[in-house]
Amino acid sequence: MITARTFLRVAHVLRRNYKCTLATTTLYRRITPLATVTASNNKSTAIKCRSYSQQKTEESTAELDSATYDRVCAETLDALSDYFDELVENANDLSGTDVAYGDGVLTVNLGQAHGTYVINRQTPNKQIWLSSPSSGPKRFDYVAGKWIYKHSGESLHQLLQLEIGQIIKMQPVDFMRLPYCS
Amino acid sequence: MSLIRRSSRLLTAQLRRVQSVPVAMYHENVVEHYENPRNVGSLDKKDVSVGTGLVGAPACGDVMKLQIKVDENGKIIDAKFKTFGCGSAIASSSLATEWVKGKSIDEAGKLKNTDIAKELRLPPVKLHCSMLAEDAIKAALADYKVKQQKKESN
Repeated sequence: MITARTFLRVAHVLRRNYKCTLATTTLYRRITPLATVTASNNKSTAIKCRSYSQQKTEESTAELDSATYDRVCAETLDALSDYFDELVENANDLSGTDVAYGDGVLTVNLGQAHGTYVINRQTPNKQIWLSSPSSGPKRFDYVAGKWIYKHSGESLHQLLQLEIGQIIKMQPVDFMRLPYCS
Repeated sequence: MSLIRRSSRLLTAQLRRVQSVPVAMYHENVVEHYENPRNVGSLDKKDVSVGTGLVGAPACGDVMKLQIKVDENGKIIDAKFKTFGCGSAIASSSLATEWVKGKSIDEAGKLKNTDIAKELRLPPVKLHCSMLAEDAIKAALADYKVKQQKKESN
């Protein structure tokens, strides 16, 4: 059983021993480490860093510093939270709905029939993560003033406009007037 | 007498406080994988028939290493994983190794995160773990293909 202390210790070792340099965004591009931990007697530290996780392009990371990310992310989520509040309050045809926003996590429950959307900030990656009951999980990067899913190029607000527009029929749905949608 | 009454009142107040905290439970499928994980371990990553996928980042709280061993016919004969992360992440990668064993590399590439999420009944906030498991498989397959190409060019 991995205790919190063990996890933190290993995470610290991993972070200290290798750092992944950034590569251009192609799915599963090999990323070379700044320092490779060579084979040692201690097996737990001899891990070569070959990471295929999604990485940001160099230009967007160069632009986006932590302070900007925090501000943009907070504004995006605040606006989405307010708008969802409004939509859900006026949607009399939906039951069991709830909108909760706290600590960078926006949870929108649209009832049993339609499921729950979770939109949250992911600070280490400087991303916004979305979990949709119909299209699944997606990660959005801040590129050129909007939040983009790099695999398909679609924006967070476009996706929400499409999906929520199909759920909420009794009122006009317009995510494209919110900040950072275009 | 009043002491007993006061202490029991304190106890009920505390119990009520504990009960009022909402509890989300892991589905039994997730608990099963967490307590009896299948295929934990490592394969020899220098072996040319082994593909290794390492995805995630410690800063995010999830790291998965998934390795597959492929025979000459392109069938996956063994799979091993090691994961740091939440119960859902461990269960997702454990289930992924179970499912890819015995499949061809093409079939394994078709494995979707939605299947994993449905099997483990993952809540919305944990769907990202299943996505990471799918990424880990794809990364392992990609690594295997790269190694095979290198072998052919040599």
